[in-house]
Amino acid sequence: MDPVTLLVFTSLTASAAVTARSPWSAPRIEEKTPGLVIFQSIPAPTNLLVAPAVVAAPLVTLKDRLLTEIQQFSLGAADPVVSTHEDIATAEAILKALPAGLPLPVLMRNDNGQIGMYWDSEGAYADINIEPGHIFSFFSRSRVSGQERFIDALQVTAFTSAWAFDNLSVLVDGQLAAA
Amino acid sequence: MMGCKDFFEANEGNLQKCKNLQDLDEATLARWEAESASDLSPGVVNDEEVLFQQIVDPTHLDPQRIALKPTAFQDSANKGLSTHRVAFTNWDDLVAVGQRRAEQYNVANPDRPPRSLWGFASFRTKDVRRITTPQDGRRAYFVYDTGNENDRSHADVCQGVAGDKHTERSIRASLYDLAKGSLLPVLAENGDP
Repeated sequence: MDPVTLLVFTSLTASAAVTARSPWSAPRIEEKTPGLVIFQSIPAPTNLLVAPAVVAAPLVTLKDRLLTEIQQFSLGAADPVVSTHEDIATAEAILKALPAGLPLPVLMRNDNGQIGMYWDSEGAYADINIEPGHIFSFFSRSRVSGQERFIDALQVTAFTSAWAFDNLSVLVDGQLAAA
Repeated sequence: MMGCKDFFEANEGNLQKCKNLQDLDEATLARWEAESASDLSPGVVNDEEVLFQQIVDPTHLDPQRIALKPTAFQDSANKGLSTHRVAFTNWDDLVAVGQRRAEQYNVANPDRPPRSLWGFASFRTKDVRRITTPQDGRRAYFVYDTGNENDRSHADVCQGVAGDKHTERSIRASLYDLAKGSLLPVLAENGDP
């Protein structure tokens, strides 16, 4: 094939390939009535484009889902075992104060309605029990050293970012920080 | 002097029977493990036996379905954690007992979310018996052959140590670790048995 023909052929196949790969097909325009342009339906956005409605909707984070789950604990309609609003508020406060960079817990609740949460990682196991009066207790065990830490009767206001990093970093590195 | 069988006969139906065990010393509780708790059981539970714990409460399963949440072991501190001695039953009977238990619960608790048998967690008896308290190394759990007319394989895991909060959380975490990764669903992911 001579170079010019090859060039034309290549450009044609390239454009055809591009057309075939293009996610958009241009809308076909039909002129049935002079001056009236009818567009056939525009293809729906492909997965290469996000519809504006999806972009506008707020993302539901995993933390949001946990907060919703905690709220369910107060719904007596679904389950007559309810947790007190006070305990729910304490659990919510802890969850909201948990800083980014630390893993989220799994929520739990016993048959008496007592709320708890726990973490399980290669480095450690840790759990929190919510108690009346906006109080919580904390337990952790390093899977590396076997060392345990238990702290009782903490006011929920003690659960700051600094406290969380001090006591939950064991989940990441298996090392209990200095008490 | 009261023996193991006397205790369990006297505490049949007692939802706090494990609390009563905690009034006794470790030596007595350990000695009782070598005495049968029930005339309807095939004999004492030996260390090598595998125990299955029914999973009927959906709130006891972790989101990944590889572990039981720590709250799943709550019964060990009061009424006794019901388990089944695999050596003295079979899969079909285990499933039937579990389903019956779930149905009985649903009838008795119509206002609560319904339960169904999801599957089982498994433990080796000696691993349960090896769990000790963190501060002083006392044995935490004792396993008794509490077979009954409906289920000869039944065994109770009872917390025998009256511990402080740290102890409670520590030994509970140990049970959690034992159960993790041992879950056996009744149905596969695709719904096949």
